[in-house]
Amino acid sequence: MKRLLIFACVLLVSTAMLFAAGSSEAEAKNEKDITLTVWHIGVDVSRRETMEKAIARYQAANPKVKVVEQAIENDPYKTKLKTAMGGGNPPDLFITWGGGWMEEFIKAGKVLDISEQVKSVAQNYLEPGISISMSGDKVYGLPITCGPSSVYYNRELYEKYNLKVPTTLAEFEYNCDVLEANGIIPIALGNASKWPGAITFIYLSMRYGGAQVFIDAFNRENGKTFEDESFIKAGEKIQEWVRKGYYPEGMNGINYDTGGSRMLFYSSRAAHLIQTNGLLGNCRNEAPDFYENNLGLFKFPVIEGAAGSADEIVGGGNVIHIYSGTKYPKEAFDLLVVLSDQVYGQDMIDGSSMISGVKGIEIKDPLIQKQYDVLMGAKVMQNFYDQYMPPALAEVHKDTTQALFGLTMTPAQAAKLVEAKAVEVLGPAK
Amino acid sequence: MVLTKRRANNHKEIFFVVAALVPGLLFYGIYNLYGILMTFQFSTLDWTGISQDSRFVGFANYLKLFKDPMMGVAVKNNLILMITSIVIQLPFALLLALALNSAIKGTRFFRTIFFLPMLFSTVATGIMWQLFFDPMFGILAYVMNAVGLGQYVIGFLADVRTAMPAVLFVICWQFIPFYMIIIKAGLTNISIELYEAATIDGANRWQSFWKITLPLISPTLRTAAVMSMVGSLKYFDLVYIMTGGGPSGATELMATYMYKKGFVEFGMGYASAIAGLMFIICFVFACGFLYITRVREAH
Repeated sequence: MKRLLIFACVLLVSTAMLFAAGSSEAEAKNEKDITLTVWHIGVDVSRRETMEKAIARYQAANPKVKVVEQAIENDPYKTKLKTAMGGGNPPDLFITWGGGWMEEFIKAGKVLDISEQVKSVAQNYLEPGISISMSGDKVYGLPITCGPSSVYYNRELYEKYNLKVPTTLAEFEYNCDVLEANGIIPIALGNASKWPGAITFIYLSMRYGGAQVFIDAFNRENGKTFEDESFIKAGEKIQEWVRKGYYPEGMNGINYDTGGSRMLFYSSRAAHLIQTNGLLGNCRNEAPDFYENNLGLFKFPVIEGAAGSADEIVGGGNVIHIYSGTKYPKEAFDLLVVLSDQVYGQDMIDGSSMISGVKGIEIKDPLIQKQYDVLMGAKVMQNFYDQYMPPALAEVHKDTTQALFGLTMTPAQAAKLVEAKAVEVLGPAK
Repeated sequence: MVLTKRRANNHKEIFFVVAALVPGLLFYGIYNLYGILMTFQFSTLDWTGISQDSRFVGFANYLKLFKDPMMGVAVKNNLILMITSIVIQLPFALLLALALNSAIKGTRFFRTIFFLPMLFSTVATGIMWQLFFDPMFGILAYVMNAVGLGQYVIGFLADVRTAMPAVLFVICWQFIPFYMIIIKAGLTNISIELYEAATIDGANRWQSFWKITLPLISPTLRTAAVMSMVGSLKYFDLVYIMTGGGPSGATELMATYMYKKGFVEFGMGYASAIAGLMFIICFVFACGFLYITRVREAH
């Protein structure tokens, strides 16, 4: 028995030593050189290159610092970052989408407040970019992409059927009716992951009630709730469009990420696509000819007689943050600035057709210029509801919106479910 | 003298057994037992999963769980999956295994073909079948259009009526080969003399299947059934990839719901409670099944 114990002890001690040796070695290295890790979601070639170039620039200026960069696919990234944050081994710099998701990390004390340091560079950034990086009156990061969602359309189809770019919803519906009558799917939609359809819902509700309704409902003030008639009307309009055949068959089963709805759009089987600013870059890579010859965009149309204006836009982007527990906050901040500065912004526009949120960018492409003008002309940029709200509430918003498209729920039922969850998460309306 | 020698041998033997067990136990302990214990600890907390702060809430998460209607849907879907796994997968696997075990020409070729689905990565399988069911560009829609069933084409994975059957079909497609190989191994172990003796005694093929094959592979079938039962109770990946539990919870399983609560909605405490309940359900089912079949065997 004794031998047995001794053996077990030796085994345990040696394993422990093995682990200990590993970690002390890593620490010794850290003392000589500073290592900063960056996690982001620019997995496609052009966005990753832009990121790598910016890091290379930083390293050239700071040879002592070693930057380890990791690009992770959108959805796995969320899981990975959460696990790393909970497990106590997070990266020094990481990205979020602003809003409620970022808020969860701020509440947990994981994001460095950079309100002070940022004062020296804040004037270099666009207002909407800084606004998605803020929580309350504090700044928690800098924007690395930032742009409006628009209605993208096929110019060739518009010419063929003699359609005019619409500014009101009635004009837009007229165009859709003409297209539908000619066997073209009016609006491409791949709603399996729920957020693509939510963009339409957000725009419609904002056009019906104005941007303030959602803000009030979210803040539980001025007597507004998520059962406000603007949300109901948005749901009704969506279901009217579904019934009229504006959308492809089975859109809730089409996956946007694997390109289902974009394929419909690029192949001219569908005429419109209501999407984020990311579409320009996607389209340029996936269908360069279509991008050259067919792609156009316009602001989401207004509804005559309703409170919303065309200068209230839905948009969002990515913000890059510093982990509050980083050992090198000063170096991390310098890197943060380089990863969102003007050179980076220019690369982003040139390589990926994405507006980054920094000022002083030269735009050659008329489509991006248009996108940029929409952004700059906006009085309000509302972050996507599902990014803006706490995740538990955002899930209900996305689930019910998908059910609206699937006609398995009435707009009133959907609104009621969202409001019930809002009471649970945010408290009762005042 | 003899006695001490034997004792020494005994010691050596124990020493060897322990030495062989310790590494395995160490890993099993760290990555399994410790994980299970931690899950139960987390399930008593109100915790986001990222914060250093957490609050002890006792059994509140479990109480919430029993009142959560979505959890009921998930458990029901898991049971449906379990029943189809046992009722469809195992008999099909048995049929295929019998076919492969027979003297038909080309069994090697078919063995490889039948086994292919198991070799694909689940993610690739999920995306492939997602494209197959795509209402616009999918093969299924194309075939249905070609044979004049075009008006019945819907978003198969997006419709509450068809999503679950579609996913079940793919799960069966993926797992039948796995059980086929297990059962095939069991069949190979049955000695040919038994069949020869049966033939001499005048038994037909049907009789030798019922009287020889089935009783002799029943331990294999039992193992396969337990694996498929526990596997389907904790099933996650294909559903996560193909539907994410949607539409409107039509394909939600306990595991996908747990993932959603823990990683999407920042409710790690609640998700741990789901995991804890899953563990208990799997444990009870597996033990219960083993117990019942053990009694039968004794008879």
